[in-house]
Amino acid sequence: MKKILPLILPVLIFLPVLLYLHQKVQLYVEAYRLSNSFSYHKELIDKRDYLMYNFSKEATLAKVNQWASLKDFTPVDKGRVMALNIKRQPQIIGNNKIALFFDRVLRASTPTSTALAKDKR
Amino acid sequence: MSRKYSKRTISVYLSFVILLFLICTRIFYLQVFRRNFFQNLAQDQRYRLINLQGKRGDILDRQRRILAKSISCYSVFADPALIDNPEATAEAFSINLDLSKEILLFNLRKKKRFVWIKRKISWEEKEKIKALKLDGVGFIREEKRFYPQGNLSAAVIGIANIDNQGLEGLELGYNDYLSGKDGWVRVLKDSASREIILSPQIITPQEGADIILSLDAQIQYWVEEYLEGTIKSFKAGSGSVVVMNALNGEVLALANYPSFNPNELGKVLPKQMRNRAVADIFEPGSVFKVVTLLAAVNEDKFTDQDKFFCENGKFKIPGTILHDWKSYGELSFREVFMKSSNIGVAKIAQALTPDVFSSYLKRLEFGCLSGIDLPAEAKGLLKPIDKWSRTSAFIIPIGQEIGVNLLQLARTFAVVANGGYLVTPHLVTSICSQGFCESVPIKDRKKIIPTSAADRAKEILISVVSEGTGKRAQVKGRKIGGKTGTAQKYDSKIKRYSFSKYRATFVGFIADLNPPIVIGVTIDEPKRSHFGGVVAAPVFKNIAQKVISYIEGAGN
Repeated sequence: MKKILPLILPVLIFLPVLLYLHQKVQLYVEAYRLSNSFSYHKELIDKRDYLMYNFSKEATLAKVNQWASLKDFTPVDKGRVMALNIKRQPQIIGNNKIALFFDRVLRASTPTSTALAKDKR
Repeated sequence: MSRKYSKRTISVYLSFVILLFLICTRIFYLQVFRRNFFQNLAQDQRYRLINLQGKRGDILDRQRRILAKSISCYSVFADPALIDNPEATAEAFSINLDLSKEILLFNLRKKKRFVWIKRKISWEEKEKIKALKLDGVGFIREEKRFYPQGNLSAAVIGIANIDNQGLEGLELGYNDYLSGKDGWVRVLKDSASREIILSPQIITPQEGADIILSLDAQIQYWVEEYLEGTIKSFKAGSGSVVVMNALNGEVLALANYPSFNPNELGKVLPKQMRNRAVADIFEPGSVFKVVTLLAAVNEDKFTDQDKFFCENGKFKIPGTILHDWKSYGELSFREVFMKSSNIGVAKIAQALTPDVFSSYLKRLEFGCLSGIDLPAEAKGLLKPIDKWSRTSAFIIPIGQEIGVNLLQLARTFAVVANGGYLVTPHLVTSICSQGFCESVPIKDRKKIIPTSAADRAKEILISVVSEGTGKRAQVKGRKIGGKTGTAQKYDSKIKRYSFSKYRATFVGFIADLNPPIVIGVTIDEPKRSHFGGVVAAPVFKNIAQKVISYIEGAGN
């Protein structure tokens, strides 16, 4: 035991130190990722704001009203109900086994199968 | 054992001791006395404070349409010390940001470490500058106030300055609610000056509250369209319109012309920013006869058939001669108002006595603020009764020698339309913050005349529109009441009433609409015609038609 101890001891010390160092490095890596995400988030907000700005500038109530009067547009009375005859489209089942499994188990057919049908097309 | 040291050894030893002492003293000085300075210096190098802006709240109409919003934008700055070629940099800015090259060069040659190049630039401009990769140029994220509807209700919403502080209108009146509070986050900086969010210290920013208005942008649009059309067609100087719910004083539209675009403040003249509906006081003329009507019906001294001799259009009163716009002989009480006879109304007011008439002016709160939640309201001009001249008792009842704003007139007509209650006009209905909305309490309405008296006044005002001077305000098949007003303007140069400058007014209500709506229209200095019944009444009619179909359509 006395002979092995000097051999094991450095390893025993080295491993926690290595783990500690690894954690420290990971913290910095995550911090960098967070910083990048934060600046990306800000950039997306800026883009959203400018899209909103550009859209709103072109779609003011005044312009909408002018368009409506130009096209002689009158909104339909709320009392008039419009019915659309929508035929049920045949379901296209895809090959995604996980989705099929959840379909069967959870009977969540509509969202998944519709999504699959779109994928298929 | 004795040792003898040479002088040289001792001197070397002593010099080392002194040196050590000096070093220790220096260390002590740096560690103890300059501790904070060096600690801050080190922290400045390692940490950076990032400003988190507390967004200014939005202003929305009653259908939650956005009328004012804060959007993020960038401001570009430069550090002249880091710019090697100011000429080229100025050239690049000048082309991409549409700025004067000379001014840019002047700024870039300053011996400063920070100069603004342009504040609040567009996304496209920022991307262009970023792509140029200019040395010593940076961007600061800021907030910009944006008014998506442009001119619409500009004077009501007001403006905020470049630092997002309210300057006019609701932006100023509700600045404390709308303003956000900035927060900060302290992050580490690496050797390349990149920010690392590692155990950041954060002071969370607080967003400003959103305010929801009683204003309806669609009604506001129609009102502004008709107002502008009328002002242009009659070549008038300016005009205002207010549309108000007579039951609770909610303002559905408040328009002024000339107006302005708050997104282009550089092009706006101060007079365009004036909210004339609340800040302008004027002599109302015949439209003010509604006060005499209310006093007369409430005092119950006259029946509808009582006759008044209108002196064939000329009536000598103390100090002047009173004229009617058309000569009348005998008119019944109802006809006096239908035909808007100045002489008849003056005689009715005399019969009531000046004290009684004056008490109704106080009851209707003339000479006081209407209480609307907008800054810069003018409270009007009303002389106390002890300062009335002998003429005053004859001419105040016909709307001269008194100054009112349009809102005060509208709330007087609301008394007639709602059964005798004096309401407080208001614009903000609720304030929302972090998902929670709280209604702004409405000031209690005051019962100032009985419902029976208000109903009698209402019937007479309806006949003014159906058979009298306000025929052009009539909406087919609807009960419309109102009163026209054509006021000569006082000319301070000639010190008498002008024969060329008039103010045409019509204030009325839609009696059979739920809720009853009061619409007040005033047009200043119209040219082609100056009669309230010709200039202002058709604006009322057009707005009333739209409001009826809009409100009844929504109800269905």
